[in-house]
Amino acid sequence: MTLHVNLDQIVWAEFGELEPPQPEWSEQFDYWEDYVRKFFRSNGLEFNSDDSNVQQWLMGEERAPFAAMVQQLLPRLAKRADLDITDAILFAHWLPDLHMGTSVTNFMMHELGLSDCFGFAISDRGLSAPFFAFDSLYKYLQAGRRKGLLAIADQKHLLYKSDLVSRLNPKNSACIIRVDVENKQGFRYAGYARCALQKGTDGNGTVAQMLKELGLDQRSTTLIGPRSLLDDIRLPVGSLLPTQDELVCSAPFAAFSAVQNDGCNYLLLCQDEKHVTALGFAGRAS
Amino acid sequence: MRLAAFAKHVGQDRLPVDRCVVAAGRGAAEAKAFSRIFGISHVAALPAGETIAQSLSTIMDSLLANAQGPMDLPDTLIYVHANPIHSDEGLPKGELAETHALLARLEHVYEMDQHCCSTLFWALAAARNLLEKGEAHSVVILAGDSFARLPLSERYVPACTALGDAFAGLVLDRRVSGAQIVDITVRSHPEFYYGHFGTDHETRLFNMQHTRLVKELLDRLEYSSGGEEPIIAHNVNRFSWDKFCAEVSVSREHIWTDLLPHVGHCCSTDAFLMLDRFMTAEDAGSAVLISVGQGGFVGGCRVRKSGSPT
Repeated sequence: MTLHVNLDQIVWAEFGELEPPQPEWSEQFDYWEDYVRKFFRSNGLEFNSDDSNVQQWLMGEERAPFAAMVQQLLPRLAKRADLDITDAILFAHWLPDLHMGTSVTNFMMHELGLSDCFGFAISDRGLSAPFFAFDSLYKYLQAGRRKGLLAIADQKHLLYKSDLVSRLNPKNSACIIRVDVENKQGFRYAGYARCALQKGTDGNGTVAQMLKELGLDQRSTTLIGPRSLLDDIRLPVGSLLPTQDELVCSAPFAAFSAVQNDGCNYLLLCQDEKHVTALGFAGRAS
Repeated sequence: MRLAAFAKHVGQDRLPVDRCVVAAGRGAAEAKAFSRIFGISHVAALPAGETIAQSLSTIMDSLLANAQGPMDLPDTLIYVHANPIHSDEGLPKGELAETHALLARLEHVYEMDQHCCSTLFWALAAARNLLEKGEAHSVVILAGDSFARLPLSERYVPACTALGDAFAGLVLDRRVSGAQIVDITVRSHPEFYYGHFGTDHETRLFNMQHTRLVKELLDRLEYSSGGEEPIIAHNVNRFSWDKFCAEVSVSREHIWTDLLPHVGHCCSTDAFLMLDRFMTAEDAGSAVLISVGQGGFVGGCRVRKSGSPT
């Protein structure tokens, strides 16, 4: 099955405050403090109060729940694509939602009035969650289905302190991508690749291998990825387009949505400690 | 899909439900009324010192001992819990294949918790898909939640249910002889997207739709309300099932909620805690299992005994 992605049908945004804290929520402080303590324990970790970020999570500025962000993006996408027929909605994130228990996929189905749609959320895969979700959606549509949505969201407030997240300094951001097997415009999906990063090596060998695996010619391919990975790239690729790390899982698609369809190929990249993960998109020059 | 083995492990302690209600800051009158109307006097609880990992190990011991005929060791594990966090560490950490003889040939592990108290049915659907596609040869599902190390108040869900601790295990493969799990049906009702996060008003709206959600699923399972097939139900509360029977003309005796008064609602495992009664009941060739999960996730299936007419 050949699948094309039309850049016009990728919408994304950063968000400020969508759900101001309410004074009465401060009564919930002890409950959530206990919750995060149990959360640590269920992961085999001891929690002490210095680790707590509950006050910020509950009462901080610029709170943006996933559903509220997605709710703002849906009408924008609906102006560009008919969403009334949607067979599947996949949702990907790394950082957790502010609302514990809300199903973002069900929320989207409810907003769109869809009654017979498959929904699934993918996390626990770090920054590669949206790439894996995109490929999962592609596979799902391959089995005789037509149209899907991939939604992505991350938000800045965590229940506990994390050096990793502090360094990342995430923004509230979300992205929705229309995936339609009948669309023939834009870039052809060339596939998903994930490779272990050999210890002590930079990403050149890994990226070259991925390009070969996905059938994308190096010289006519632009790499979209984190600056930390692209800075080491010495391959004779078309060009390098760094992403904004603080947009977290939405970052590669935000950058991709802004490129000119000039016939080049694009390789969207993300990196965690041990792996590089990629999605390939072929322009006419592939 | 053959049910090669099944096992259950219900927490051995029994906590009076009124203690849970009072711990949640409610009065003794509410505790008494809750127990009378909703039909739960006690909830099951893991004894102090028994961990979730130990409970799961007990389930695995039983699965090895309970095999209903030839059974290959599973290559795939689906670990199910209805609540996103556990009160302790849950599944043993480390190399699972080394933690129990049942898991010695394990190659793939999945964890599912997205469909609240219906998650075990989504796990059955996943197991069926993995087996049909040849991705798995034998699948073990280990399921359950414990609230034993959470505050007692967490067990009380006002105007709805009281939560107990129990675990269930199933080994599934593609053999055609022996008990079969068929008609696996899972449905989402997106209007209840708020799930655990709903306001009191939203949660009440969801609870009020119990009859409609169950009826829709039974229709999909082609359940004959005039027949004798038992419905092995989630133990949400007695009131909801009495109301269901009154509204849908199903005889109350066909809805098996035997454990409800003494065990409470054990999240994803309720229906599966009654499989032993079903397998030894002489007059039932098949039964429908069902659960409604918060968030509007509804799951069901049919279990047929070996040699049952279809």
